[in-house]
Amino acid sequence: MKKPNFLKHAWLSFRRSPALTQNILQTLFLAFFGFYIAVSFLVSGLVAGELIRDFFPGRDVLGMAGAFLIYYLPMDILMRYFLQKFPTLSIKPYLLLPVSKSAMIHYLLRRSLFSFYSFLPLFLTLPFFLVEVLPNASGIEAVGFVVMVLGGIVSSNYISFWISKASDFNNSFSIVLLLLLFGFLFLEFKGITSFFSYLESAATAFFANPVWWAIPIFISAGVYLYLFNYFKKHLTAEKESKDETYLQNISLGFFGRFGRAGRLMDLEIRLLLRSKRARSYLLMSFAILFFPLIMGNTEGLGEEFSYLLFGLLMTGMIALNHGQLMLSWNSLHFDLLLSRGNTIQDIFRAKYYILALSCLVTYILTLPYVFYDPMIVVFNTALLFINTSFSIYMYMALASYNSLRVDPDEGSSFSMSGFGAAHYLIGIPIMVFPILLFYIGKLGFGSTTGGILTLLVVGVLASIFHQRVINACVKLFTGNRYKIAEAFRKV
Amino acid sequence: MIKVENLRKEYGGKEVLNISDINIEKGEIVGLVGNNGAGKTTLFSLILDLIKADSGKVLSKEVDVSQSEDWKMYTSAYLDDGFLINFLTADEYFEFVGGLFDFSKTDVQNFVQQFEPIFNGEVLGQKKFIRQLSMGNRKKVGLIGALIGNPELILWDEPFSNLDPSTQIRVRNIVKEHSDNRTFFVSSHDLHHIAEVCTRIIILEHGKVVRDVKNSPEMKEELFEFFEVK
Repeated sequence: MKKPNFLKHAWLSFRRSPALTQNILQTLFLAFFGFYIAVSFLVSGLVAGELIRDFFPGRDVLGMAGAFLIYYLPMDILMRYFLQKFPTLSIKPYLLLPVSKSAMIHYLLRRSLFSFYSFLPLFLTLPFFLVEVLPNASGIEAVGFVVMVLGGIVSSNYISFWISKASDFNNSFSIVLLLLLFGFLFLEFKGITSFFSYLESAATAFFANPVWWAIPIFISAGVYLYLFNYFKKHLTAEKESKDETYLQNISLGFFGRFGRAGRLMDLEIRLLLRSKRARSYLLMSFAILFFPLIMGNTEGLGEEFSYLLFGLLMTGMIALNHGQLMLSWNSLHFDLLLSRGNTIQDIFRAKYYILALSCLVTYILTLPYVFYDPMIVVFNTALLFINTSFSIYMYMALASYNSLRVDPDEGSSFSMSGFGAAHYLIGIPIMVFPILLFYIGKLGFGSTTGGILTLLVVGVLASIFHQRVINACVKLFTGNRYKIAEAFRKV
Repeated sequence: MIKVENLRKEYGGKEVLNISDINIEKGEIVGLVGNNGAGKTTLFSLILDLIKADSGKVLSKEVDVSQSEDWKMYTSAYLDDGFLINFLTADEYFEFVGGLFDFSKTDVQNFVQQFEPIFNGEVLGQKKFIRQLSMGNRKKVGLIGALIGNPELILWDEPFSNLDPSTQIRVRNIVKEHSDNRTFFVSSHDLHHIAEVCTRIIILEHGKVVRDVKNSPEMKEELFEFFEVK
C-alpha cells in the first residue's frame, strides 16, 4: 500500500487556511502573542532558580523545581484538553483511499505531539536546565530532569488526546480537578499543608534513581498503544455520530413569554449549553470566580487595584468571552435570523439582556465572598453595573463591525477562526475605563467610598439608557449587514 | 406581492444577475429554472435582502426590502442549511420558528404533525439535533419550517434535490395544497415537478430572464425543448 505524503498535505492545509490567507493582521497578532508568551516563559525559566531560593529558603532548588513540574502535569493535561486540537477527522478523506490505516493512525498520533502546547514547557525548562541544572546537579540528576520534562510532555499530550477523543471524560470532572489543584496551592501558601514537600521528595527520588524513569516512558507508550488500537477499531469512514444527549431534555422556554427577543434569548442559552466551544468558554468563565481564593491579596498591586481587576473579571467574564463574538456565534444560522420573523433590533436586545443576565448571575455567585472579604462584594456591586452598561456596549459596538465566522461546535476554544486582533484590543478599554473612573472618583471625593460610588452611579445611569445604545448599534449594524452576513457564510 | 426592478448584481466585475422587471402576484406558484450559475440563488438572496444589489431594487408589498424589515414578518425561505439551527432538535426548531409568530408549542406540534408522512418517523419526537440528521432529513425540516407562521411568501431553493422520489411528490403536493392566498417561489432543476405544479415559469440564463410565461401544455413542451442538449 502507498503512503501519501501526509506532511506535505498538512503544510498545504496550513498554508491555505483561511485564517492565514485572509486575515494577515490577525495572524501577525497571534504570532506576536505567541512570541510574547515564549519570551515571558524564557525569562521566567532564567529566574526560576532565584525565585525558589527566595520563596523556599533552605530547600533544594532542583527538588522544588521537580515538585512544581509534577504539580504542573495535571494542569498541563487539562489545558491541552481545553485548548489543544486533536484533529482525528483530518484523515477522513484518506480512509477510502488505498492507504495503510496503521500508517495514518501513527501519523495522526505523532503529529499531535508537535503542537504549541508541547513546546511551551520547553521555553520554561530549557533555560532553567542550562542555568541551574547543568552547573549544579550531578550527571544522573541532569538526565533525570530531562527525562521528567520530556516524559511529562509526551505523557500529557497522549493523556489529553485520550480523554478528549477516546473516553467519556466529563467537563464537570475537570472543574473538580482544577478546584483540587488550586485548593492544594492555596492551603500550601497559607502554610496549612506541606503537600509540596512530598512532591519534593518524590522528585528527588526520581532524579536520583533511573528505575523511576520507566514510569513516564511506560505511561506514554501505554497510552499511545491504547489510542492506536482504539482508533484502529473506531476510526471509520462512516460519519461520526457520537450520541449527543447533553442537556437535551431540559426545557428552556422561560424567556419566550417576553416576545421575540425572549425567544432569541432562549435560543442563545441553548447555544451556550450545547455548543462545545461556547461551553468551554462558559467553564473558563466560572473558573475565574475562584480568583480571589487562589490569589489571596496580591499586595504588590495595591488592594484597590486587585479588587477592581478581579471584580471586573468575576462579574464580566462570561460577557467578555461570549460578548466579544456576539453575533459570530450565530454565523451558521445568521441568514435565518436576518430574514425570518424577527427584526435586527430583536437580535440586539436579546444579546444585551442575555449578557447583562450573565453578569447578574456571576455577581450572585460571588456573594458568598461576603464571609471571606466583604470588600470584594462591595466592589463587585459597583462593577456589576459597569459591566451591564459600558462593557456590553463595547461588545455590541464591536459586533456591528465584526465579521468573523465562528463554528461553535469546533472543540478548541483557541482555534483561529473568529479570533481577531480586535478581540484582544477590546480588553484594554474595558479594563482601563472603569479603573480610571474609580481613581477619578477617589481623587474627587478624597476617599475609596467616593470612587466606589462614582462607579455605581455612572454604571446605574449608563445601564438605564441601554435601549438608546441598542438602537444606535442596530443602526450601525444595519449599515454593515451585507458585509457581516457574507463573512459569516464563508466556510 | 414581489416586484423586481432593474436588479443587477455582479461578483468581481462579472455580472451574475440583470433583471429588468419581474412582477409576481399574490397566489402565484412561480417556478424558477436555469442551469448552474444562472442566478437563481442570487435572485432569492436579493429578495431576502441577504446580499446587496449593485443597482435596482426588490419591492415586497410595494416596499423596498433593503429599507424596511416589515417583509420579514410574512416571508419565509429555505435556501440552504443557513436557515436551520443545527444545535436544536427538529421539534425545538419548529417551536422556535413558531414562537416568533406567537404560536404556542401545541399549535406548532399540531401543525407539523400533518407532515408526518414526509418525516417518516425519523424527525419528529427524535432525540437528535438537526446537525445529526441526514442531508435529506435536514432539508425536510427546513422546508416544513418555512411553512410555519402562515407566511404569505415562501421561497424554496431546490426543494426536490436530495429527497427520495415519494417525498418529492409529497413536497409537490404540499405546494398545491398550501397555495391558497400565498405565493410560492420555487427554483428547481427538476423540470417535471416544475411543469406539474407551477402556474408560471421563469427561465433564467446567465443572469437574465429569457422566458416568463404562464404554465400551459405548450409551455411544458417548450420548457423541455429549451434545456435539450444539442
